[in-house]
Amino acid sequence: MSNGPTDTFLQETVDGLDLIEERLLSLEDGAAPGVIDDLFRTLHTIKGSGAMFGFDALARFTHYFENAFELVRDGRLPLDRRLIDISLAARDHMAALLEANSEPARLATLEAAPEAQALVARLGALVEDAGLAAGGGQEAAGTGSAQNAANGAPKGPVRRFRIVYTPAEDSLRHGARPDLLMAELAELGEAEIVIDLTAVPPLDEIDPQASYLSWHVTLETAAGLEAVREVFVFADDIEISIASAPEPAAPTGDTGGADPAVALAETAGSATDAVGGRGALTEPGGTENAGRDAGGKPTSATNASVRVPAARLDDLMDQLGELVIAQTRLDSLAAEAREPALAAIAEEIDRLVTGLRDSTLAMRMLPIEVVFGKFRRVVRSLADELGKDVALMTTGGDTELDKNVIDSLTEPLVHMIRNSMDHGIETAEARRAAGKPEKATIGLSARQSGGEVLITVADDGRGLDEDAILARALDRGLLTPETAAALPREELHKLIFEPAFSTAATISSVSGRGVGMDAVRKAVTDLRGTIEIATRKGAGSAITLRLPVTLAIIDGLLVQVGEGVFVLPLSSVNECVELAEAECSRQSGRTLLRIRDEMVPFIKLDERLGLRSDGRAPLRVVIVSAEGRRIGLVVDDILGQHQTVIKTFSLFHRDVPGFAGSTILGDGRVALIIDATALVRSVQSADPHAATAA
Amino acid sequence: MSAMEDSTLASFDLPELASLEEAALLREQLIGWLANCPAGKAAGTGAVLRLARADSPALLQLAAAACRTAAQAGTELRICDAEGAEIGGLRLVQTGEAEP
Repeated sequence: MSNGPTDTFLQETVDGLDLIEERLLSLEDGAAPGVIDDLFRTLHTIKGSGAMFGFDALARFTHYFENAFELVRDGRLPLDRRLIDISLAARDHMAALLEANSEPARLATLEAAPEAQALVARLGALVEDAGLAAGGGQEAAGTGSAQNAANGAPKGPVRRFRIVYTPAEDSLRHGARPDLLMAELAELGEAEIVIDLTAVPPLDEIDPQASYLSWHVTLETAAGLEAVREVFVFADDIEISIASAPEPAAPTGDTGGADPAVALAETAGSATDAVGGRGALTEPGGTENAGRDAGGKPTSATNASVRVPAARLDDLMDQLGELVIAQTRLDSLAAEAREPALAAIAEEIDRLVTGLRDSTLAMRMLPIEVVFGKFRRVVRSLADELGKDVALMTTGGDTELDKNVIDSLTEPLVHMIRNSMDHGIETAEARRAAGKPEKATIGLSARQSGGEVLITVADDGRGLDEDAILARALDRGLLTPETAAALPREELHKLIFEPAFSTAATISSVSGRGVGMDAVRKAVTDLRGTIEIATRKGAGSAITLRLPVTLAIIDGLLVQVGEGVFVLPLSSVNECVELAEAECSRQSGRTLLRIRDEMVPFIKLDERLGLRSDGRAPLRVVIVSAEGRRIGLVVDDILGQHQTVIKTFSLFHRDVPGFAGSTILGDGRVALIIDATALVRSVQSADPHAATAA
Repeated sequence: MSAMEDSTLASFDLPELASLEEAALLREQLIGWLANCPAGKAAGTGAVLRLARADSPALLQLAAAACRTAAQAGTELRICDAEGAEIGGLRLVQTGEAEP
């Protein structure tokens, strides 16, 4: 797995582009102090580092963008909606250039595209209109950023830094460009650069793709330590030392008189000694602790956060899953052996594995804000497209979900928001006529409830049109007049998730094909979640997704049906009851269970799964929540709780209805995990009358 | 006349690298050139390496490695940029020490 500086640059730039979008949109709501500085710094970093890592097209374009924001920062260019529109488009173009960088033909097409040229022209026109001297706009990207960098950093007294920069031996293979980095550093002030060749081996021993060089820089600058650090922001696999430099002398060698002075030093070993060897950044004076900046804040070296590739977390989760299975087997063996010492060890391992499981799952948790943040842009663009004035309000962004759940959430939420904005929110005229404020509101909220996270998309629009849904369902043959008459409102609302179901009179570019909400249901089902709808005519709708916090390991209830053992996710289990056959009642021609005066439809799992049951009495029934109601699942025995590591089905078995995956039990047997919602749905599709059983 | 201005000296161009993979090929060419460098050997004064990119780390270290190898063989090798200007004033002599 590659994790070199280029990968780090890519990750950081993706984050930077997200930050740019988030900051631009926040500026529309009134800029908080420092937001424009944040934007400018991010643009500058992407430009400089992009050039260093061979993302030249990205660096070139970002340069134009940066020029415009330099004017904004200096108060010479007003930040209005037009500029934010241009900036958002520029940000998208940067993302496209980043993605296409490894494909020269695609990159050239992107750069030459009329839209890209128009963007460059618009950014250039902004700069010209603001009266900026063209000189700044003509700098070569990656090498002309000194002034910008110095501008971006707090100005202070001129100080002298000495920097020893020794790239990792494999840095050139990873695309590092120390020459560009040095050029950027030199532009911070007066620089004297000596290249130490001491470590270069003879020609017959040299690995021509490895790096053997060190750079010794004496830099006089008013830009400050942070600006120097910023130059090395992606150089996390190198060794850098900056120490006090009381004397201006370069380590050795003739500097050649160039500006910045560059020299080759064959005997520059003494330079390393002079700056105290390899270490961390320190302020001139050499008294500061390594890994702390001038303000005493931890630098990246001591930062409490570590960026870990997602694939490593997935590997860790897989290994943990195997460990949990092994531990379950150990528990099983210990119980059979009835050996106190073995039982004690099994208990201790059980405790440790549980702790490890919780820590690992916590590591995979991300705040849902990372998804919510994307929707500000979606709502803004759609509002423009639809000619509606809509505000997005988000709450609960710090609610955490497993990374895999987060990754799968974006698409369904986009569909839900598009649906709300197109169908739910009325036009300004209609809102005025209804006595509502012209500016509509879409609410996006999240909260945790036990092992589930509830995510709600709510709008203050017209609410679901039940008459239109009913008419469409009758028209499509989904309902007959008889079934429609008996259909509860909640069931009627859920018809909007049927494939190709739409009440829209026309198909717009936003929605109306009946595809989006079907995709929502599929995505939520895949995540083992459920959907709830609340709506009131004229007041709005709220669609809530109930999702499990994690998909990897769940608490399950182990049940026996015939010879088979199955797992029910504990989060879907309401209660377990034992009933005499006599407590079954017939109603509307069907048999229902009577539980504390509540009539509950049920599914006999032995019949459903084609297994031979021993038909023991009393009936053992697990009551689960599925499709928003209580359903009884009749089983032969309830074996107890089970820590369940979910193994997904292979492609061939993925579409088996009613099951969410499998797990391995302590005795090595495989148990299928029942997806109650999917099971109920498959029963309903086999027997449409079952839909009205509850 | 300085060594860099002496057109009788053998010279080798280290061209700009389109990719790092080309550095391996260049190294082989340099080894071959050094092993068969008549002008430098005959004159007893040395030879010149001309770098297309004076700031390219891959070229610089190849040039330095060549200097080290040449010094071991008794040949003085000097490095200049594409215009012929000596880089950094560095001259490598037989002892391998830097001579300002």
